[in-house]
Amino acid sequence: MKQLSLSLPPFAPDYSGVCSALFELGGMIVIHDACGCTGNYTGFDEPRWYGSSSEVYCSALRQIDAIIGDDEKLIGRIMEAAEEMLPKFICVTGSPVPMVIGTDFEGIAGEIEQRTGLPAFGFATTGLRLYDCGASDAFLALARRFGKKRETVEKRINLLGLTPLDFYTNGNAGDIRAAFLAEGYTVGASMAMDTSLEEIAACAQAQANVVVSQSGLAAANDLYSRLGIPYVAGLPVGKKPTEELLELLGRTCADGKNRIAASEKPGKKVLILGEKVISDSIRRCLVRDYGFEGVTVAGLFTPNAGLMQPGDMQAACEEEIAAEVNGGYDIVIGDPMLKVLLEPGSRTKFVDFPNPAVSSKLHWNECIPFIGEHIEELVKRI
Amino acid sequence: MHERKAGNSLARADRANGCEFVTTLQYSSPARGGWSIVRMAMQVPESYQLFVGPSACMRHIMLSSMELKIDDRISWLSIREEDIVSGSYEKLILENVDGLLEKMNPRPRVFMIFVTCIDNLLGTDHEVFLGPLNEKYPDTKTIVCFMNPITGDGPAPPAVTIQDTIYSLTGDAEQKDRAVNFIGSNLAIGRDNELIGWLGQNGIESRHISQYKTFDEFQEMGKSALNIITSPLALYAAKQMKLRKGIDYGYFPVSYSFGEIERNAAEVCEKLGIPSPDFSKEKQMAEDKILETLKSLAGRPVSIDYAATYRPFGLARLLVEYGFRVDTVFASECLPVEREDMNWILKNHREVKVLQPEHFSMPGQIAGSKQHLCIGFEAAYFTGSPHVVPLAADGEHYGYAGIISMMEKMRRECGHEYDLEQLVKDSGLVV
Repeated sequence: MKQLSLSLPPFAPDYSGVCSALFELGGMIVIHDACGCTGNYTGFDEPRWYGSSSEVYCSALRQIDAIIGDDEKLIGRIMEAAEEMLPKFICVTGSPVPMVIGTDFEGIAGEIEQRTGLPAFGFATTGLRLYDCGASDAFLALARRFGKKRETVEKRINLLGLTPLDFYTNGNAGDIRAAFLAEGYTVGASMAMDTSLEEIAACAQAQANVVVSQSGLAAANDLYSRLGIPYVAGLPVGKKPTEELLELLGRTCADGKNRIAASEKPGKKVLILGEKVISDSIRRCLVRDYGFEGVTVAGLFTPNAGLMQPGDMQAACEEEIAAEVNGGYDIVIGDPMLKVLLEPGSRTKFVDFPNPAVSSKLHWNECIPFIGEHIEELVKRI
Repeated sequence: MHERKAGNSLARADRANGCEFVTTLQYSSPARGGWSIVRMAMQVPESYQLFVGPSACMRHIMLSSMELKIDDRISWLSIREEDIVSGSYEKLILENVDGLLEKMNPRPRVFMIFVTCIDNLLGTDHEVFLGPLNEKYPDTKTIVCFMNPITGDGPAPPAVTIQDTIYSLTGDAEQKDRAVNFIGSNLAIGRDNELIGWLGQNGIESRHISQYKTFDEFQEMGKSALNIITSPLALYAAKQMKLRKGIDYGYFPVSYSFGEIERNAAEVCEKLGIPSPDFSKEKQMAEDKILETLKSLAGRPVSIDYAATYRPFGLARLLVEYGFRVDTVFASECLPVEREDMNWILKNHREVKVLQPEHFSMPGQIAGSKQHLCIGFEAAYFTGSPHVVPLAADGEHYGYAGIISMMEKMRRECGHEYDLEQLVKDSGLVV
């Protein structure tokens, strides 16, 4: 019964990832659905929604529109709203019903772009994949659209893969930026928190990219293959790992080679469940700064071969997550909702590390900053 | 493309054409929402819910259930693209529900399999799993329910079909009890309601789904003599109960009109063959309470939203008739029963704004007025006021007692401030 879940909620879906990635950029984002999918995103996956003026809409898809494939109604409504709201770009993203009827989102985006003259993106999100895929698609689309050859500016970097679904809104994004600024780098685009479409349009000036979550990797690969901008994957978490990451970045800026921050030996002391780049970075900190031995990382979301390290685990359903949580570790670090999967009488210590893509607003106020020396707060709880 | 006009930014109802509401791209404010289908269906005692569909469809369902701490009676089954393409969807449901029921002890009396929007397009044969499951587990009634907002503008949206499903589970009896059901309200009408009191004095019991702890007790709702429909959501269910169980019904919705309250009460009594009540004392109490509240508010502007009450225009009319300063009605539609009140407001009180909260121009339209008294969460969000009557779908309001309760809440909330963001979160309301 691998597809059955008794205790955990579904994790944030792909269309939430698209919306989250584009939320701050001044565009018009339309989820092509009846209303529930939009409610998922605005109600549970977007901590910036309250008080915001961002234009995220539901297309109000109805059965008859699905049956007759009436895309013109969708396009017409978008045109009407765009004429009044004057967005910087338009994004249309899918949900389960358009998946079933095979809606051509790229075609619709092309039509909208032709009629409005505004950049338009179409994403065939389905609600079957997870947020990291959607965010990855959105970042890749931004990179492809705006990443045009520019003159390189020395020590200028982009941050790729920032959304509140991974980093919440409690200062992590600013702390990442600050860590690089302190070493004399300038940050161009930080896709896509605390940034602008103009900064993203200038992303090709960067000497290197820093991939801060796996949703940034596809855009990084695109910018590397098309424009030769190399990347480093990792986060400045703790003292020694931050120094090492900066050292890697320096080498990458110098030789143009892609690098992923080094792995650590897995073991049964600690299990970290979560987003891959974040979990890897915390692992490095626990080992390098605090002397833990035997820290294993288990990815909870979409597996990414480019980031997997020897000994890494991956869970695809509640049954597998439960098996890992009960895998004989002394300490498990993960979203508080996973704690319920511990077997009765378990001697494993569970350390809460809320992840908005899992527990949403039920725990996101408990998210703790973990960049740089802020990681101490998590370590104190271990 | 033209420059955005500041004065053109608010969603507006077209007064010249009788306030036609328009369908646009829909904005969903952070304060939008109501009772989920889950929450409504969870009122069936000893029931269990399994949601089946793409995992995304269940995220808000599961999280809102966890917020309300009712997630011990709910789980979900994700379907994958290959399940859809291969047509193994029905088999997947059969195997998983069978496995789940096998392990449950005690088993629920009702096992609700909720399917989502895509089910409407897949041509699912529900009998493939319902037949074997009901045969194997005869003490558990396994049924299909629908969470398919894609049918939202049709005759059977999910909030309507779930009412039918819920009441189809009640018992049958040729000999009816001297009892009435109040259906369509999420909460039980207050026991201090004058109609319930009058019915009680005449030996007629009033029933509401929320009072039942066991499935067997719940069966008695099928033996009542009359269904009193308090909101349009339950109209279809009542018609079906008339056909299936022979229970008479009447649409006597929540009202803020003295005349309508009196007429409704008289019609209920006529249907039951009991004398009409004299509610002049209750009417006087309601009027006194309105006047006290008017004085207490001292000209403070009032905004009302349509998620708080099915009768926003009726409530607005009552208030303006007594001299309250109604500032805005937030509504996306006008029920037929409300049209006369809406037209009266449009004609006689042009100062009352009518705004569509889901209109595409509404993002960021937060007025920042700390003075408003807001009836409903969305009204509070758009006005920016901390003074909120936290009400959804009329709550337990009905009749004169409902008006009195509303006035008491309005007075109380004038002197109270909420953190609206937290209030919305705690309410468990979902889109």
